[in-house]
Amino acid sequence: MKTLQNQITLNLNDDAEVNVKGFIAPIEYTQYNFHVEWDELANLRVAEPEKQYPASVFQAFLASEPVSVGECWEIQEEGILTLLKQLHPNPRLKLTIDSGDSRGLWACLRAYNDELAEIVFRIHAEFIMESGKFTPSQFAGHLVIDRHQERVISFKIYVPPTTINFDAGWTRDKGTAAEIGFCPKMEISAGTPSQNVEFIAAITQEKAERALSSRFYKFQKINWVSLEEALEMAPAQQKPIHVISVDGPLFDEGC
Amino acid sequence: MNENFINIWVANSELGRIQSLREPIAKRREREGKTFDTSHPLVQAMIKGWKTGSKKGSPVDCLVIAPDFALMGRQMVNELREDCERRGLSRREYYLTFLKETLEGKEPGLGNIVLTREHPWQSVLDLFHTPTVENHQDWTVVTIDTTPFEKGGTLTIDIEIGREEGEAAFYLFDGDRVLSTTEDVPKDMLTWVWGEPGDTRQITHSFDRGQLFKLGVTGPWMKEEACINAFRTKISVSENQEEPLEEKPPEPNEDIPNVPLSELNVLLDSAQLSQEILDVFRAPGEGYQDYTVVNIDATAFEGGGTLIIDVHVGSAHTSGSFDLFDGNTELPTEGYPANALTSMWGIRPNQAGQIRHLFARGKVFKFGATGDWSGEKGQTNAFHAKISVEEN
Repeated sequence: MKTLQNQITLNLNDDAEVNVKGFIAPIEYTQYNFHVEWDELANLRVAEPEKQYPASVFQAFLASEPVSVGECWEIQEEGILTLLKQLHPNPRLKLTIDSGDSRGLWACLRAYNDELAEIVFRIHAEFIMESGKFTPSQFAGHLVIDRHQERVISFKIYVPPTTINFDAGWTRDKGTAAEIGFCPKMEISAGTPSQNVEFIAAITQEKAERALSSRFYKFQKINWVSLEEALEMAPAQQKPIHVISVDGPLFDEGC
Repeated sequence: MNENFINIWVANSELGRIQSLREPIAKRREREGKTFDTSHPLVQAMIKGWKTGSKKGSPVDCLVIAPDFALMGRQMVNELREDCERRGLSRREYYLTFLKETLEGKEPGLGNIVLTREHPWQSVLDLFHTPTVENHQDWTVVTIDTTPFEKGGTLTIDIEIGREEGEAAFYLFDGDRVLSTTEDVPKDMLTWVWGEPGDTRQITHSFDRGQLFKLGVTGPWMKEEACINAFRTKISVSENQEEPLEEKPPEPNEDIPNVPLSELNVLLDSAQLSQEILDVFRAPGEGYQDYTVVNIDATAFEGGGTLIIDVHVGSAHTSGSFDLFDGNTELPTEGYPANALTSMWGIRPNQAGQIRHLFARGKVFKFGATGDWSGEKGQTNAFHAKISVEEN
């Protein structure tokens, strides 16, 4: 399974089955209170709390060619749509609002050893409601596979619980009104991540996430630092601070 | 970007800018044991950045802040397209110019009205406040950049004062003047005028070489109750051709024609198809309505027509919502205005919108202006409305 230049091939046994659990928590807050006034948002719950899938569905997350750690590849759309339907019956990968950098599904090999391989991924998708749309900031996640037995060890797709983690549009007589808010938990998952695994080759979770984000947003080339870092760096380096002050997050589709 | 700047991004909701999210986010932080320090000097500079300048309010603000946390420049995304068109630059070219100008100390976007040969005038729609504490002036400041006029020229400021309570004094200063909040009458102003509600006034000032000016606006005398009124200015420069013009002394107020703005009742007929009003609206708090009402009498148009209301919201922080009702409607004080004929909600500061309503025969309307529900209750903003009828 190991190839030249530290590349590995990834595969799954199509005969295996994977039990996936899904969950959507009630929306905690929104800017304009749509999570109270709009029934579809108020009653947004997981479509199927539990479902069995053939492992072949998860093949969509694997690279078709050998890959090395840190390398990114595109995820196949059909597999991810099948899984997202467990959360909501009408997922869509082509976003309503797309500034040219919104659409995409990317995976990255974060780590591996002789037994396991861990893939992290980032997906931009939205749910089409009867009277509008619901766009999570992103679907992040991981897939850990057993390289020998070619089976899924653990899997999770979730919407990160940032301060604002979705954008919504409620279409009524007078047009579509935009909304932003926070849903504490929206995820589908299977298995349990292995603890304290030693990998032969690995990059940090942060570095993998940055590699994925760079596939969407060109401005990821800018070296963005935290408020605290800027507070120390500006006087020391005597450089001005360039600030983007934005209603929603800069690096996702939550606004 | 990496070579010349330290780059950060911040969610406005984290800083409490989205008022309706302050409480739930605070509760969540408390539950999760997290804190966010808004006394942080960099955060304070950002918050100041949102409120600085003669234009306020955009879902995305780009700020440049000095190493000592002083504001150097600001670009609102809502203004980007207009600003690009004004200077004939692509978005990429314009933003690069913005960043260069911040590094050159030109303070772009910090309230400066930049006048050039190509664009020798700009307008400002904003509020002024009457002080409620003796010897404490509450300035609204417009910084005017005439540096492109190297040979000098004449700065002209045409002023309209809104119809609410409260007189205004308009002082012109050199750009480096720090405006004192405790000085009763500024001693080193270049020129000034005073006006009452509904007045129009004009300031002119000749200058030998392009420079920065500050226009300071305040309610000059203390009142027992705070008064807030709107003002609108058209600021323009006519350039000197060869020789600098002689200083034109400010005209005494009594010599300036005093043309009142429209009254609360607007009467339209074939002889006067449109009227303009300049007034103030107030944010009612979420779920409520607090209308500034304009009665529009269009009964003269017996054959009907189209009522058109062009609205421009001022530079203060609150967005506006506007509803048109039948003249005999009792305006709601809470909830959605379900009986409105037509509505236009959430018009952001410095943005414009239009209401159109077709009517079959002449009638009276009520036009209600109020603050957006997301605005903090009691906050005000100016609005200018041109009300007209196209006859059938």
